Amino acid sequence: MAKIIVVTSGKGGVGKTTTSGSFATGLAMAGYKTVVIDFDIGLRNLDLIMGCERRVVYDIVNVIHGDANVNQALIRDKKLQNLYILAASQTRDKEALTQEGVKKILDDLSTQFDYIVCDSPAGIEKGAYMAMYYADIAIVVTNPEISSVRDSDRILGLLASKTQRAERGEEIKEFLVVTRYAKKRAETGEMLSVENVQELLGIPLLAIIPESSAVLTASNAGQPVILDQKSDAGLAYRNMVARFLGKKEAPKKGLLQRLLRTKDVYQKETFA
Amino acid sequence: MTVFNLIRYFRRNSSAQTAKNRLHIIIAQEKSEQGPDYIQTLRREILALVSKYTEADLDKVSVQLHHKDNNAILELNVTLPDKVATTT
Repeated sequence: MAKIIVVTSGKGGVGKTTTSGSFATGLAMAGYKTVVIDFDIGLRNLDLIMGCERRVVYDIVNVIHGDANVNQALIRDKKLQNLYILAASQTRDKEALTQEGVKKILDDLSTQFDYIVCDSPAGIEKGAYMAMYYADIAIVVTNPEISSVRDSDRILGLLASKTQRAERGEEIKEFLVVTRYAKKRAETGEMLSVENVQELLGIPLLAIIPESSAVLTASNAGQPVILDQKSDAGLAYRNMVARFLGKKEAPKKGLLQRLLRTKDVYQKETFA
Repeated sequence: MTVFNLIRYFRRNSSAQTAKNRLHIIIAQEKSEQGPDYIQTLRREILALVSKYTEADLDKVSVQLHHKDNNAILELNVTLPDKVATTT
């Protein structure tokens, strides 16, 4: 049985799709058979981030309507054998996603995969509910910015009430990923610090992704930024995956940096 | 200094140019899909058919609908991989 992970945030443009793409790629690199699903009906973008936009033949709505089975709609990643993408549809019909349809797809995929990563659309409309409803684990992507933190808090409320696990009285694991973080600006008090964000939201921190020009370069090229060996954002995503899987993280850059490193804000526990 | 500028010129252009090219293709494709309903289905079935009989890379298959005067022209471009092209 696959673990279902929703990547969500409430607010748009904070890095859900970037995170979904890199996280799924990282899980596949670690040897887990992974599928990443775009739930943003009408505004699909995960295919661009993953660089497979021209290979989309069938999408999730085609599967729900029965035009294709789920395996026909899966797009295999060019580089990684055990990574697959299920694209969103470009239809304007917002009701195209049905709960039964989504359940059937996830049930089918559950038997074949280790992890199913659901890339949620922004907002709190149907696509966002569908992406989170069957999740076992939620990754809440937040920018250290006032509106993003508030929206994330709203999403945490929905995760605690509008998901299958919540309805059954089961726990849904929630993790925080802070993106677009500028450490220097946080230190000078210009930007909310990770500690601030974590304290406000009250969920364990999984990763801090620094603000990085590599993210734009990666999306331009259609390659998840986690594959960028040189960038700090790529390293941060690799560490996110390692932490999630409970593995040892890649060492930090230099001795000096390690000596100067301030208090570790991560909580010591295994997440997966 | 000029060499330095030249390097910067190439470095600066590489990824944005890739993005622009990718967007050109995908936007043209999505525009063509706004035509009659069957175009999207047609495109999909052509792609499925191509991938069924050949090892062709779907990235290199383009299906586009153009309009010229009163005619609609459906343009299909399939680049077959070398080994398939030589054996068939």
